[in-house]
Amino acid sequence: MMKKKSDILWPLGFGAVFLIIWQLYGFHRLLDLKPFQLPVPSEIIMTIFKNLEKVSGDCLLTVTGAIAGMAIGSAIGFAVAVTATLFPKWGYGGLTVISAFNAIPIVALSPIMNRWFSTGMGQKIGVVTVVTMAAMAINAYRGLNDLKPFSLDLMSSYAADKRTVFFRLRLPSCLPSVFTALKINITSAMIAAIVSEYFAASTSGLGFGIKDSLRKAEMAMGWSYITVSAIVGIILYLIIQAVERRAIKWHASQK
Amino acid sequence: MKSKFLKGISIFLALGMAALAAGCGSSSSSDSSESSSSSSKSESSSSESSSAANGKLDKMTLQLKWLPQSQFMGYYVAKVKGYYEDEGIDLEILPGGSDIIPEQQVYNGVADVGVTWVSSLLKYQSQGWELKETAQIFQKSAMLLVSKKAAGINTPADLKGKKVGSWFGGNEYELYAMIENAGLDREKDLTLVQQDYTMDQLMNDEIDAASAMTYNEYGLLLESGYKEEDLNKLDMNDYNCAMLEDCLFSTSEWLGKNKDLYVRFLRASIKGWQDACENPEEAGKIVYEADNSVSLDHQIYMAKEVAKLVVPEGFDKAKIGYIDMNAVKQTADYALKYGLLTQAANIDECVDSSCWEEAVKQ
Amino acid sequence: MKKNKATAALLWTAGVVLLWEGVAFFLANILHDKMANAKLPYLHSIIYTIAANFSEISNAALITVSKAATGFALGAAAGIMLAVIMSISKTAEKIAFPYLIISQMIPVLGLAPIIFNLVRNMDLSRIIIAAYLTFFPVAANMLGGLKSVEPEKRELMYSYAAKKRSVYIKLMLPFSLPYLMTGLKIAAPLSITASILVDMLGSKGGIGVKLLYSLYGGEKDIFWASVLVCAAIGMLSCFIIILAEKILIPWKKTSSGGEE
Repeated sequence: MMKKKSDILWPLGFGAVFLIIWQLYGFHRLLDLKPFQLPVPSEIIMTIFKNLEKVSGDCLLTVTGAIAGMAIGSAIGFAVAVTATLFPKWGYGGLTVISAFNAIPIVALSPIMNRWFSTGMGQKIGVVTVVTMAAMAINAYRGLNDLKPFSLDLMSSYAADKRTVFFRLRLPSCLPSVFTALKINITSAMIAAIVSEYFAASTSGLGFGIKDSLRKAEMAMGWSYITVSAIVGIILYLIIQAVERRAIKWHASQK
Repeated sequence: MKSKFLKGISIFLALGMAALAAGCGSSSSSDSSESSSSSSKSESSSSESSSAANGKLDKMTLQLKWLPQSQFMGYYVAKVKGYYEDEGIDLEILPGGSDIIPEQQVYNGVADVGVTWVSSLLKYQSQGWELKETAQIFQKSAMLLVSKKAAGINTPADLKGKKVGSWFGGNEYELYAMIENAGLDREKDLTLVQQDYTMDQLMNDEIDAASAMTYNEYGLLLESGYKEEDLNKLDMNDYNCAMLEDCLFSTSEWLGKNKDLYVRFLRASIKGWQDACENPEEAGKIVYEADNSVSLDHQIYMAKEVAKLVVPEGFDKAKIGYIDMNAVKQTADYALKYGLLTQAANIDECVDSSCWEEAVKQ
Repeated sequence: MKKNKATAALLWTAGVVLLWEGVAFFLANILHDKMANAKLPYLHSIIYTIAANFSEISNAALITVSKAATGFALGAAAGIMLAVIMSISKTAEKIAFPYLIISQMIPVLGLAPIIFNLVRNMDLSRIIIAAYLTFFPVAANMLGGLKSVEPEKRELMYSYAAKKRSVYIKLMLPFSLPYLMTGLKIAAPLSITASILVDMLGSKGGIGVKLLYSLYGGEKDIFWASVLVCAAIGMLSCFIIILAEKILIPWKKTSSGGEE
């Protein structure tokens, strides 16, 4: 119980001090910024509440796209990793191809996806899918193949077939890596969804809100969107972390 | 237990310092940014002093609103022909992009002067940014609403029930004015969607009408095989909903300190614009050579169209940069009416044409 | 073994090329999509464009790669340092890690004006943004690796009265190398995309500039050529890390087993 408390208290304390300095214009003084360049937290929060309906609607849209895209992208990535493990001779090439996709910048992907999908949502899911594939593929592949020394030998000494090795040894041992990938993916999925909205054929979503407000000098509104996207991102991340805790209690990183 | 606590405190402080230095939101991450940002500041200040010691040319930077293209040909022509050098200026032209905001670049001191749209500048001024418009380069609006003939959009009233594209981010207010002048409700009577700075959505029939600048996107449509007679265009100028676009601006503070430099800059720029408008072919070529990524033909097309905006028919080209206060007022009025501004702008406060007057005197 | 790998690579390349050309053909000639050459042009025509504009494109790519390398080096260094600090002190991890995640949730394009304001130097801002976009996978993977060291091993070291420093140098860091490499493999193409992104923030040269100008200028062939080059550079960066991995941790092969 004690441990749990400090888990929360430390970052919370740090955050509180940070926010207080910000609220008291500490950063403004230090960096020679005007309040209209960087709004203070109280102003941001008030702006969020004043526009709660619009902001939450935009938020829901972006999150839906991010999660749908991430689910598809992670599934493809995992499938590629499994294929590469089961058929090491030629499956490994799939990893290479998928990491090539990862190298296409979101800013180029978004207009391409705009042509493939006529709706903002389709485009968003398309972009996020492509962005999240590689991290999962690479991580899952490592998890499936970085087995404990001699564990394979042990399995083969039990005369376990490939199937058993896969389900009993590889699959459980890749879980930590899969969760690492999911944690990376949730952040990149949110960012990809937001950036794709910069270019999307719609006028809603957190990304559109950020871009539109910041361009129009509506800094408080822009920062409200930035704040909401950060908060939602961290909530999604915490959810994955909580699932991870339950799923892999046995792993050293959870001790 | 105690030592752990102390360790925690010290790390806490260290992170806090890094965060203070980085200062960007909650990114308490990179200690590298701390050291590099401070080193850059000392670097830039030392380079400033050294250039002052050499004392030949005054360094100056101009932030464009968009990519380097004939939209800004006057500055490129003046630079290439040495007009800035003649006035003792070493001008650096910074390209813009979809995420470069000239008002912020100038206010932050990344650039000395910038090019932006008047409506956008008015918005920044209303939020407290001490910026002044100093010269109005484009006398007319270049914005069109383009559609394929088949969509049957001949007047703004035909937009009812259509899907219409805009770039947003402050570029939507002329369109709003057109829509509402025609008696339509922009929320209910039609669907507005964001355009991605290409004309693909229109070509692909994803939208019925698209925003286009006469000098850029409309030309791209023609270049990709569409004929003028296949297209309908609604010109903002024809429907009394034009707002002023490209103007020059700077901060009040910088102008106060560098009035002489700025007058010289304007004089050279006006000369450049005069040459460019007289000979758009040459200007297009100069811009193309300064940055050869968008085709030469397109740059020349753009130069010709831009010339019509800078020196419209009957306009004295000695007066390039003249600020028509009536047009500024219409821009401010529409900006207020359609929700960009929340209170009426005091346009006399927003504009400072004294430098321009001095520049055109001699 | 070698021969097998070469055939596999060849097969993959052929497969990807065929699939691409097939889809492009399908779009253009069976669906009669007007926008086929924008949605997916033929691969051979893109390669032809690259060849026709080779010096221009390769120069742009070179600029981007050199910027990416700087951003990658800075980002990776920051990531490793943060991971080590967080593994030394659980308190630091508790404080910092949530904020590291938050930092990744903040769209950097929104932050860009503030970074410009802080640094007041566009080139340096771009490098910082590139590093900012690169460090997280490195930090996360490295931390994962450091935490995966079984406590028994650490306790054994301490029972030999080993100093914290030598525990790190002899046990923790070597153990977490494979994890670090995974992080680097993700971060390398990221640093390329980051560098392309910052090309677009008003740079004067680089493949991102090509991408942006050709996109907005309606030059679809150059646009696709740039996209292909971006992907190629990203893949190349990944290969370089894999190569580095083989040199740095030759023992990995034996312990992981099974893949050959």
